[in-house]
Amino acid sequence: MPKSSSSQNDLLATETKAPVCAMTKDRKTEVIAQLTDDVLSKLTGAFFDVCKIERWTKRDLSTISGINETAIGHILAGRRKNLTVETIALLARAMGVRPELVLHDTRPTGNHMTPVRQESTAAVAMASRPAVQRGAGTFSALVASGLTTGSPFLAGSAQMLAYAQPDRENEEASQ
Amino acid sequence: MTLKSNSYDKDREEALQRALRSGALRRYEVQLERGEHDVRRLWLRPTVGAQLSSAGMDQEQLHRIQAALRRFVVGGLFNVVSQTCENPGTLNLADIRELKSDPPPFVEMRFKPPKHHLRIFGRFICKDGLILTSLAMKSPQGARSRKSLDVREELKRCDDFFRGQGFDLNWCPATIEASITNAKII
Repeated sequence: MPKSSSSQNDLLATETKAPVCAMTKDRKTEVIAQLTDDVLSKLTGAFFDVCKIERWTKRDLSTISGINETAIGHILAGRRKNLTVETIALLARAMGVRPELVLHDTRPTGNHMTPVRQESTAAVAMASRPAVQRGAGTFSALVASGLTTGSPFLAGSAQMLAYAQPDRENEEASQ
Repeated sequence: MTLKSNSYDKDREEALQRALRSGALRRYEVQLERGEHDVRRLWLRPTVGAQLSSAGMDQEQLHRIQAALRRFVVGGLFNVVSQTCENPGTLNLADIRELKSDPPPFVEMRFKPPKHHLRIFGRFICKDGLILTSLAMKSPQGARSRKSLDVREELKRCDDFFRGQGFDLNWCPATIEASITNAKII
């Protein structure tokens, strides 16, 4: 049975530690803003659906979720800072959608990598491989080969997804 | 035979290129991460970009605005309130709001949190191609320190810009539904 890519990555990752670079304050604000924006747009999208399909208002969502109506207004308008997982879960479920956290791998790969040292046979071998074969483990593999990329190392971008699937609890409640 | 729409596309792209070369417009570009693509096109007038950075906003709000613009470019979900929306609860929650005007749609982009009630006005010149022509906000330094936002003035500014650059309003999608993809329109 072929080895899974994650176990191969684990093996490669244990050989050499990748460089650690602290995020700047500005970068922290940026990544938080991006996730907040994503969460809010999806919650608002779900609210638009609820308004259109069920004809519910914030008051109805408040009754279902137990979250204060004013608080729901503040959340959807982006005035509420640091939303908790609990609030997101309750509000999303009240709107009949299932929230889920998706982590996109942002490790540099393929064309996004900076040129590597040509004298290294490992680098030449890696560059000659088709792009399809170069997966998430490429960065680790190059680091393991003693090569540096100089690229900012940010492992993953997070995104909240709210699937427009009917929530069983709400279906039962409405019947 | 050349289709009318094809000739529109060609003329539009040429006019856009001219505006970019002359510096009348600037393409808003984002640094794409793995798996992301330029799905939508966004152009700003240079004055809008300059105003954004000097509008007295804190770093956090600026990043929130950049995140929303980024979401537009990479084709993320956008919540749009149309002119005909009858649900008052959704009016202030939109990312894009279609304002009352004759077709083609004149829109405002809104940002969360609405700390300074910042809006950027513009028009879709093609499907998923938005030109933002002016920025306005309601009293960032207090209720009486700035004159109130006048949408008609912003619409006139937008029309003047389109006329000045030779952008034909016939190139613009006639409805908000035809202007943007991956959008929840209410």
